[in-house]
Amino acid sequence: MRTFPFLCGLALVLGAQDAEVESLVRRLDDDAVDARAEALNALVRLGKKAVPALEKARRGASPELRERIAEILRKIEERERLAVLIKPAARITLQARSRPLREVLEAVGKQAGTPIDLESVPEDENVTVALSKIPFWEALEAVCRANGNVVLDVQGDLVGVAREKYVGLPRHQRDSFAVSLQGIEMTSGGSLDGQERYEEFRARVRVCWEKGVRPWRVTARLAELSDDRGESLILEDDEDRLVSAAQITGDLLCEELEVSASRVPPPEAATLGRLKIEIDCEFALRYSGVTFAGPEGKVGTVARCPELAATLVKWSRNEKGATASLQIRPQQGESDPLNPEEFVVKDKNGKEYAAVVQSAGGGDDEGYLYQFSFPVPAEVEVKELSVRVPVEIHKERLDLDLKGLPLK
Amino acid sequence: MRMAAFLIGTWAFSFPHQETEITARLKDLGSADVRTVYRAVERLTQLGDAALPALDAHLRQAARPVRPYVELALQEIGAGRSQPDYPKARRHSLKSSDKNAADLLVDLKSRTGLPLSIESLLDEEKLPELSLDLRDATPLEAVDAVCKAGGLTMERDGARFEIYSGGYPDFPKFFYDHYLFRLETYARTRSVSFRKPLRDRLRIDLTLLWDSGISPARLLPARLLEAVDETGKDLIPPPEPAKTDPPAADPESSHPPVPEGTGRDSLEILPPAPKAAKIARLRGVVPVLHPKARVDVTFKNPAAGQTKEAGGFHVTLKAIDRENFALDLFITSKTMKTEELRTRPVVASLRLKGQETPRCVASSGVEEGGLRVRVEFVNVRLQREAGVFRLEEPLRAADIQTFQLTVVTETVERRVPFEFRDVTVR
Repeated sequence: MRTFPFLCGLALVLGAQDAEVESLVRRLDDDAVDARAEALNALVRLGKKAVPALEKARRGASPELRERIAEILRKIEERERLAVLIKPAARITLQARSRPLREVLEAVGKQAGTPIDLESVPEDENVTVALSKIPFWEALEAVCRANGNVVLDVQGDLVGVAREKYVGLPRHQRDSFAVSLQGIEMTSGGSLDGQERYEEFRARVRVCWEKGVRPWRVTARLAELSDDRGESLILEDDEDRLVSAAQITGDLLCEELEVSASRVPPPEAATLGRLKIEIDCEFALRYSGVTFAGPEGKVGTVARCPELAATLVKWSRNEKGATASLQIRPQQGESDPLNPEEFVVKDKNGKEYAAVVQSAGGGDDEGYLYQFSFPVPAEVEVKELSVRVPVEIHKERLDLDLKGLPLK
Repeated sequence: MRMAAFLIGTWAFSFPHQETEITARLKDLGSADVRTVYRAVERLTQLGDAALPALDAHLRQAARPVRPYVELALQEIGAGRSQPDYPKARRHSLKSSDKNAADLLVDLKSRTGLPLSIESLLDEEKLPELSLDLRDATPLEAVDAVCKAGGLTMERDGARFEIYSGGYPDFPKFFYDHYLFRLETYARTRSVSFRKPLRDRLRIDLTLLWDSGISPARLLPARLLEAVDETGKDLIPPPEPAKTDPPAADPESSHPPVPEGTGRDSLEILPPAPKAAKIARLRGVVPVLHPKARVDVTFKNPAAGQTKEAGGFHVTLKAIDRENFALDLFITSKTMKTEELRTRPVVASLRLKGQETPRCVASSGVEEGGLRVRVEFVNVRLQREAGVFRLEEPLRAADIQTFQLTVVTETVERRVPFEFRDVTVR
């Protein structure tokens, strides 16, 4: 009997939601541009809940309206995919008064769902700190700063601290992401017979993200570099060295990238005029690729998709897993070597095993020859081997824009 | 002071002719010309025990800039006593006004025994005649002088010294005994880490060549003794704070053997003061380990499966990989454990039928019960053409006439000094 009022209430809520969606769908055909745009955005925000009404409305719609609905459905799908790849940023709230540092950092890690390597935290350190709805990385910095005797230390998939007097690095934090400038190196050198001379500016940045955020690739680009007189230190020929990229594998929580230019400020310069590094965390929304079903019998065969042609050169099983060699040729233009996680085998239950060891050779007209292994238990039957490449990318931009950076 | 004067006087009375030279050489130790200083050190070393009283006396009264050279001469005399077999470099004089560089180098090759390779010069249409008056030079110093006069480059390529045209790279150089030190490149790096003070260092790359009169087994890291710029600023960096990492491996075993005839190292100093255009003095030593005892194993017409025994070592020639120009060997010792055997430098040389001795590289690794050695050799000649190296002829399988493997069982250290003055870092 108690469930009846609940179900009635639920029906009322759902009914009201349907009505709202229908109203928004109707407004997609409004004469006012602003009203149409507002309705479009509202429907995208509603997400999956709006899909049945949108599908229904599409059936009898005018060509123009059908196009708008298709756009909304595509954006909803993209948001859904992105939600899997970028979890909502954690907001940390806690109060600590002379509490053990280890306990406080553990609490921060638990709230964020990103565990802290507690072994790295000194047992004898306490901290007093008050945080209210602070993003994860900012919260960690705040705790380290409040303690004063540790600095944040992120390596691979471990978030920890190192015992060192706290000095904050130049950084930028947003939502689930943080980027910090780890160091700068300015080198001027040459040959001592006076025939050669060179300069090199190098900056190292570390990009971090929370657990549950799964970028496919991270790139850094040195966008601006000038000395304290405002003179640019980037030359026209520097284009290749300005950019650095890393493909992300496994459960990594950070990546370090280095960008460089071929001029340095003079030795007496006390500051840099401007250093701007653009960081893109790229997320693969949609993949394309090829599949070899039952790879045992497919050695020598070629599979194609619009992006690549793959030849299975070798396939073998042993006690440790499966090994394979594939020749991959991009179908259009040049392409970078593929990430090991883009080679996947599936068992009969659909369980995926990503490649763990990889070597890539070639890179010429014949493409790349990849050799890798998969940790598939000996008793598991492999149903298919797939190669997939991202064809739709979402980028999260983080700029590290520093003016008057002291060089000391 | 009085005692010093008395000692010098007593010794001078006993050996009047040597005394004149020793006095002159002691005076040379204070010369502004670095070649004169080290030539004096070498000459005093040659005089040996006869120079000791004067050196001892001079040590007590020597002014600070001269003192290191007096100490060096004493140290060299001591080293000569403990290593009587160490071959000193022979000195050569050369005078010419009508010979070209190739002729002079051929002459030097026959006089010094240096394995000079001058084939690329023979293709030159006309080499200019050089005017040269060289006295009392070490073999490498003589070759360098010809190269400088003829605008040529000398590079060590395995067992040989390749000479080719294309300009004389005028690097700062220092000659001592069998050695040639060259400062080739530099890099000043300012590192900003935000958490520690800015680190500003100047790295200077040092190349060390030696002639065929010696065959060092190992070079240890160079040690800087003095570095000052022309304003008098001391350029030796303060010691780095002790690292908490596990202690480094024994430098002797971690520094690889140097069978190739070239050693490279880096000197790290503070950058000169902004007003200084030059590094006034850069002085140090490279500790060189020379074989004191060695065991040679020779295979004539080597074939896979052959075994040899010598000095307690059992050497098996496991395979000859003709396609990859390599030999695989396995060494066991009756007296040494494998871990100890691993630290012994292994050097290889071979002769091919009807051809010159090619460049050989031996690399070793521990395998169960012994040492696995792979010797790779290059059966190819490089030619430099229009500034670009090319293969003289394609690789082909070669017949090995003799193959010799040497295990250095005991080494002795000699500290080879170097000094550069007025080095300009632009």
